[in-house]
Amino acid sequence: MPHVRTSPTRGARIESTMGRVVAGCALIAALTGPLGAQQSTLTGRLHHVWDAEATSDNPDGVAAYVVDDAGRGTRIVPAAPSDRSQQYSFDRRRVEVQTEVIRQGPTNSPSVRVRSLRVIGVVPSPIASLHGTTGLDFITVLCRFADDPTPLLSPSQMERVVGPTYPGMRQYFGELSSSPDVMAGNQVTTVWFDLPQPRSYYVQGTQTAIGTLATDCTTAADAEVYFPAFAGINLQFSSGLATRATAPYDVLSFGGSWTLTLDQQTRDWGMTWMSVEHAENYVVYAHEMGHALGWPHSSGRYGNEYDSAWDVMSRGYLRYELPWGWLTVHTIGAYKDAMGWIPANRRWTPAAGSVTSNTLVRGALAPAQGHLLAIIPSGPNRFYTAETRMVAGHDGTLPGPAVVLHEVDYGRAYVTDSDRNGDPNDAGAMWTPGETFTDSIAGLSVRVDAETQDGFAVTITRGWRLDVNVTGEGTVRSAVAGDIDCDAGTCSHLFPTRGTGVQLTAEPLPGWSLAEWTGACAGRSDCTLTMGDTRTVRAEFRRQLLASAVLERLLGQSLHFAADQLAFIDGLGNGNGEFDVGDVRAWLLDPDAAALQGSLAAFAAPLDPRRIS
Amino acid sequence: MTTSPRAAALLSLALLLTAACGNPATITSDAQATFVVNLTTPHADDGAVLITLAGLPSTPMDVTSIDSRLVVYSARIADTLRIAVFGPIASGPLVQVGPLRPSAAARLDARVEEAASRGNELRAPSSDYLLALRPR
Repeated sequence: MPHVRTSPTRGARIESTMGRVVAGCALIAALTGPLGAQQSTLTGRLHHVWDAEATSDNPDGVAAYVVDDAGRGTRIVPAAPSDRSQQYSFDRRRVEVQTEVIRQGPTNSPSVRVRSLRVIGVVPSPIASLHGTTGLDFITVLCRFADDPTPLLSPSQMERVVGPTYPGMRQYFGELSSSPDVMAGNQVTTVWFDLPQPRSYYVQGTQTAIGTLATDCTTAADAEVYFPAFAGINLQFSSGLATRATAPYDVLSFGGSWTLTLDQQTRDWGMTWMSVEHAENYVVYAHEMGHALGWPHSSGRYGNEYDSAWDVMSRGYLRYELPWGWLTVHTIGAYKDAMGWIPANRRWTPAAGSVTSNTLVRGALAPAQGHLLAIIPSGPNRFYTAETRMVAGHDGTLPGPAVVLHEVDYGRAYVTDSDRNGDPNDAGAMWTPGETFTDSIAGLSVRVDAETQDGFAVTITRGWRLDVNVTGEGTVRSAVAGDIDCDAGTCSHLFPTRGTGVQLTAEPLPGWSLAEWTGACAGRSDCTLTMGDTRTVRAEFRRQLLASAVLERLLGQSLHFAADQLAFIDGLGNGNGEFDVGDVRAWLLDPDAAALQGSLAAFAAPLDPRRIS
Repeated sequence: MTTSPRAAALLSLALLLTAACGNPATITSDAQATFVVNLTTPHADDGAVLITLAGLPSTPMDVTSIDSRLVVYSARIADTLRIAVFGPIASGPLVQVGPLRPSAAARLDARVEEAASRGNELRAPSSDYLLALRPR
C-alpha cells in the first residue's frame, strides 16, 4: 500500500506552519518572561538530537528538547553534566520538567536549565514506538528552502540511497537486523516540497532550528505523505544546515527524534535532518538514521565520540568503494539488541554466581547457530556486552577479528580498551584467545578461550570471587557450611551478590598452627570479609616447633618448616645459618634452648613409628 | 669293637660330613645378625652425629642404643636409614642395627653426614670420621 501521495497543497500548509511558529513564540514568552529570571514547568516528550557542538560537558554533542504535541521544542540543559546520561535514558518519554531560563536560542529555540525532571504516565522503552511500527520504514521527504533553486538531486537518486540495492539503507539495515522486513517500505517523496522560509530563517551559523524545520517540512509534504505509516522521517534539505563551530567548520547533518501531530496522530518519529552535502553519503545517512532509531554514539572513553572503528555510530567512514564512495560497518550488538534484533535464544545472559562457556559467533551475516551477544550486568543502568566481530558483509573493514567488549552506561556504549592508550581500535580493544577481561568491582570476567570458524569460544564468570590459598596442614572454612572448605592449594568460591559477608575460620591439624592470615585477612583470629571485589586470602599453617618435629626434620621426614622457623631453630643452636645436627642437639639437650622453646614434653614422647619401617 | 667294611665306609662319610658341617665360617656366613656400628672420630668431645646407612635390603630393621648415655633416633626413607645420635660420643661402638645378613651389611654405604661438638658447633665431616659394621 503506497503511503506517498501526490499533489501537495503547499500554500495552506505554509499558513498553518506560520501559525504554529507564532503560537510557539507566544508559548515560550509565556513560559519564560524576562530572560534569566523565571522558573517554569514544561510538559511534553523528551527528545534527543545529535545536533550540538561537542564540548567537555557534552562530549557526544547531543541536545535534549522537550517537545509539545504541536512540535514546539524547548532545548533543556541538565543542571549538571553528569545528569545527561540519566536524562538520555528518558528519551522519547513524556516528562514534566521544572526549569529556569538561561538564554534565548536562535529561531524560536529557547534554552532552559533543568531544575528537576520526572517521567509522567506509563513509561515505555525509549524506542517502543518504533518497535510497534511494522518494518521500521522511513519516508524521505525532500524539502527546498524558499530561497534555494530546485536541487539537481532527483527523487530517484534518493531512492537509490535509501533503497534495497547495496549499499542502500534498506539493504544496509536489513543486513544489520538480519530481517528482510526492516525498512522494506522505505520511500522517497516524488517531488521537492517548498519550505515557507528562506534558509536564513532556519539556519544561523552554527545553529539550526530543527523543531521548526521538522514542522515546516512535514507540513509541506503532508498532503502527499501519510506519515503514521512510517517509523522514521528523513528530512532531506536543499542546502546545508548548520556548520561546526570549530575546525574543519564542515556542514552538519543531524539525527534523533521529534514529536509531531500529523494526519491526526500525535506521536514521535525517528528523524534525520540532512544537509544536501550528505544527500548521497551512505555513511552519514546510516549514522543519522541510527540516531533516529535511538542509538547514541559509541566510542572509547577518550572524549572523542568518533574514534571507534567498530560502529557506524562512531567513526563511520571506514571503507571506500566505487561508485558509492565512503561506506561503513555494522552497529554494535548492544544497539541491535535494543532494537530487538538479537533473538532471545541467541542472547547470552550469564546468571549471577555462575561460570559458563559458549561460542559467540560473528554478528555480520551471522551463521544460523551460536550466540550473537553476551550481556553482563555491571551495576544500576550499566552492563557489559561481548560480541564477535569478523569481516563479513558490511563489516568489510574492521580493526581485526576479535571479541569486542563495550560497557553500556544508560544506553550509551563505550569500548572496553585494556591499554587505555587513546585508541579503541588497537590490540587493547581486541580480545583474542588467551586474554581475559576482568572487572573485579562489578564481579565479572570474560575469557576468550579459542577462535572458531565463525567466532570465538568464550567463558564468562559472574560473581565476586574469593580465592583461599592454604599452605601446610589445616583447613579454612566459612561460617556458612558448604561455602568454603579448603584444605590444600587454592580454592575459589563465587559469591553472586556484592557485599556478601564471609567469616573464615582456620582449623589446623594436630601438631600444626595458623601462623597468620595474609592477603585480605590479617592476624590469627577468625577473619570477616565483605565481598566487594575479587579477594585473595592466604592461610599459612606451620608445624608447631615441637622437639619431635624438629627431629623429624633432621631425619628427613618433615619438610614443612618455613624459612624463619628454621632460622629460629638455628638461632637457638649454633647460629651458623644452616639447620643442622648441632641445632637439633641444642634443641633437645641444651637447657637454655629448652627454656626458650618452653617445653620438652614433646621430646619425651615416643617418636613417629615411621622411624623404622 | 669290630667293623665291617660297609660300616667303616659309612663312618668315614659321617666323619667327613661332621667335619664339613662343623666349619662355622662356611655354615653361618649369611645368617641374619645384629651388627654394631663402630665410629672412629678425631675428636674427643663430639656431642651429636648424623649418620646414614644407604643400600638397605627391604626387610625390617631396628636401631638400638649401645650406651645408655646416648640418645638415638632414626628414620628410614626408602633404602636409606638416617640415624641421629646425641650424647657424649667417642670412638667406639655407637649403635647396633639389625637383623641384617652379612652380605647385605657388606653392601651398605655408611657415612657420617654431620657432626657437632658438645657445644653444638657443627663440624664438617671429614675422612677422619669412619664407620664400620661388625657382627655383634
